[in-house]
Amino acid sequence: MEKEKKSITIKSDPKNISKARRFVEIIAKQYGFNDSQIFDIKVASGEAISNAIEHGSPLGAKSNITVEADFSKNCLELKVIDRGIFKKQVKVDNPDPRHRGRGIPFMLALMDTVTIKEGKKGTTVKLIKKLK
Amino acid sequence: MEVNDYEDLSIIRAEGEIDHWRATELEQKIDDAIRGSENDVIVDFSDLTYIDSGGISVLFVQLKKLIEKERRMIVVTENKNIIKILRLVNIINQKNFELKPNLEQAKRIIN
Repeated sequence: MEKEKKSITIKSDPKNISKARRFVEIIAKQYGFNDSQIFDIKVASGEAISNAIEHGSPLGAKSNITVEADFSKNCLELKVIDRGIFKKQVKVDNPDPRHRGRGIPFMLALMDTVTIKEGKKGTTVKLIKKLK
Repeated sequence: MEVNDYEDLSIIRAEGEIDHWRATELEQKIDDAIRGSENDVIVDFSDLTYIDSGGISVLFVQLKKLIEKERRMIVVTENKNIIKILRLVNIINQKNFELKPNLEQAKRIIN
């Protein structure tokens, strides 16, 4: 398949998160990932988007979050881009649901590569899954 | 989501997708079941298709409460993806946690 880039931008509101997950699901399906892989991709990107809504939205629900999808070299690359500083979660085994600590281990476990880039203008979480 | 107190058991049914934003709802339902009876709690995920770390956190918090009361949490699902997540966080090997493929088998271990 030809290299191409697709994206969706949502307002930073919890009610939009399932829409963004659906976007990711459709893209992953188009590139031929199986159900199990699609599930992994959905959960990992869902975690990144949840973090962006919670921590990367200085204007609250008026903030924008963009999810970009790019497929090349047999890899799906997803970028979740927000306008905040990534909140570092310390205890990954903290069972308190108010902590988002489990989100990052989920991304790491379910994707092949996870990178978190913090800049002055915001944070980009890059998630890569290889098509096997 | 609905709660059925069926044959003295507290059964919570959660369908569709549980993410960070629906996790509070799940937490409340399990709380009600814990307070509403002295029984083990069955969490029926038969029709659940998605769970994230928010939902998993709720399971851990509620399992801890049940352990303190010497009661069990029995999660029902056959969905390979959901089971993959439960294994990933190792809740499957926690004390007082049981995984069953269907509601009948879940009820059987209580009776």
